[in-house]
Amino acid sequence: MLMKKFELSIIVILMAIPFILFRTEDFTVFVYWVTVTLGYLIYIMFSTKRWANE
Amino acid sequence: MNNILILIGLYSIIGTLIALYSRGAKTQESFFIGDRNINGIVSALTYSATTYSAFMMVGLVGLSYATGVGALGFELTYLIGTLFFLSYYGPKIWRIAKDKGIVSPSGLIEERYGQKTAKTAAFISLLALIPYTSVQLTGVALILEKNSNLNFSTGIIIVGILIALWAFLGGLRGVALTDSIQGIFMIVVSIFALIWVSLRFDFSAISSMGNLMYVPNSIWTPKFFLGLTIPWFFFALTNPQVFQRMFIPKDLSALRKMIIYFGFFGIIYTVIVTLIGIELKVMTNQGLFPLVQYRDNVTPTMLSVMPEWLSILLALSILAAAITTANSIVLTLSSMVSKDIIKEKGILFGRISIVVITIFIGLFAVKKISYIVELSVLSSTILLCLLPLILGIFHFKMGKDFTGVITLIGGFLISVGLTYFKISIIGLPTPVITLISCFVIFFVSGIIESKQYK
Repeated sequence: MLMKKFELSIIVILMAIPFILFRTEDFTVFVYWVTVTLGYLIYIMFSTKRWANE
Repeated sequence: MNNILILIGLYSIIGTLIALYSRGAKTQESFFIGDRNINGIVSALTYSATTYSAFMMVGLVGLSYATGVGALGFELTYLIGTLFFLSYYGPKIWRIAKDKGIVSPSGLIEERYGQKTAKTAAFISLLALIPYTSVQLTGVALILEKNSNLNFSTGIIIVGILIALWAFLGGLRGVALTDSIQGIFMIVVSIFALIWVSLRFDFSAISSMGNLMYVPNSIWTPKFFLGLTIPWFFFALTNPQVFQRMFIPKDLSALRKMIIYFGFFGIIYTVIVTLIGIELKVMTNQGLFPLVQYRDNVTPTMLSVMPEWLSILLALSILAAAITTANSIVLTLSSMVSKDIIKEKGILFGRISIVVITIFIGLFAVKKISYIVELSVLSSTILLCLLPLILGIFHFKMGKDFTGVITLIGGFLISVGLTYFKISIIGLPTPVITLISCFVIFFVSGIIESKQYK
């Protein structure tokens, strides 16, 4: 549960970063948000691998 | 007869044949959740098609056009929240539902809190989702009216019949199979639409978007972002039509595939839709696309300037998106009526309620009542009152029926009251206040009930 709370905090912080960090009038924020989401999906792919054996 | 009507006819025949092929369900478990025996790919496609409604190709394209990159952040935050909750609670919910033979989403709530809470949850879901679904029908009927000269009421009747017929005949299997084919169709057509727009788009002109390409800006303030994102962040747990999808995979491996494939579907579809909106706005700035003042008119305007074959396919994909969402909602609500309100053993009243709920949805859609639109926007906020109860199943031991009913009714009244009277407490968005209030009510009533019980 502690790990999941940590995971939740990390993804919320990562999604909020553009509100603080980026100020460019191009696709930077767009690419950043897509990369974070894709990265999280790939993380889920690996972290749920054991389900196949349960 | 024009081309789109021929295509709609073909589409209706194919969908009906699939629903007929899927019929034969006799038990509640079979009719409402496909005997818990759906493979990973079909589970993922029906989850995706149920989640992504006509809002994507109409509402989100318009939102991206009008407000820029913040729309992408909002939609991907929803997706990340859904992936998080599915990967954490998905296996737990799947296992409890299987072990206890739970069919309706409120069944899980009944198991933990009691019958009265389950009934209240079913009524609140009906109140929240019927207006929401009727707005889907209204949107599609308007697009059909514009693109095929099909009378608005006739459009509502055709879409309503398809929604009820496919769910009535095939139950979950019919809905899941038609969802799967339509889900693939939606994403393929959206790729064609993106290619068509991108061929006319000059990437170097993106700076004409100005501050709409970063956040915060004049529109996407942190408060606006939170207000929109919070109800959707918890969508996977609070919306019964997607919650029930966690019951259907045949095993944990299928559940895992459902989550992962849905994630890929979600990212691809969201990127396509928001990119179309942003590119169209840049084209407007360059004088290559008409200026659209009302954001929900962006997609209809795009349809009017596209080649006919593409605009017909895109209009049909919007119809498919609306139907896949609507028939899943109708089937889930009918399972709640059948299991939690009427408490029947078979599926007769479940089937009858598919027809009755669809008639209600159609009537609301035809009337175009203004408060229906407000209620539909409010639906995800109203459903937040279910969140403390769902989390309570796994994390909090206090409270039974009293706590459950008080939390649901209290949360419902607060969300509706705050919106209706336009009350803002210390500047916080309504969903945030609703969420906090629901948890406060849950914990206070839970402590009181636990003490009484002792």
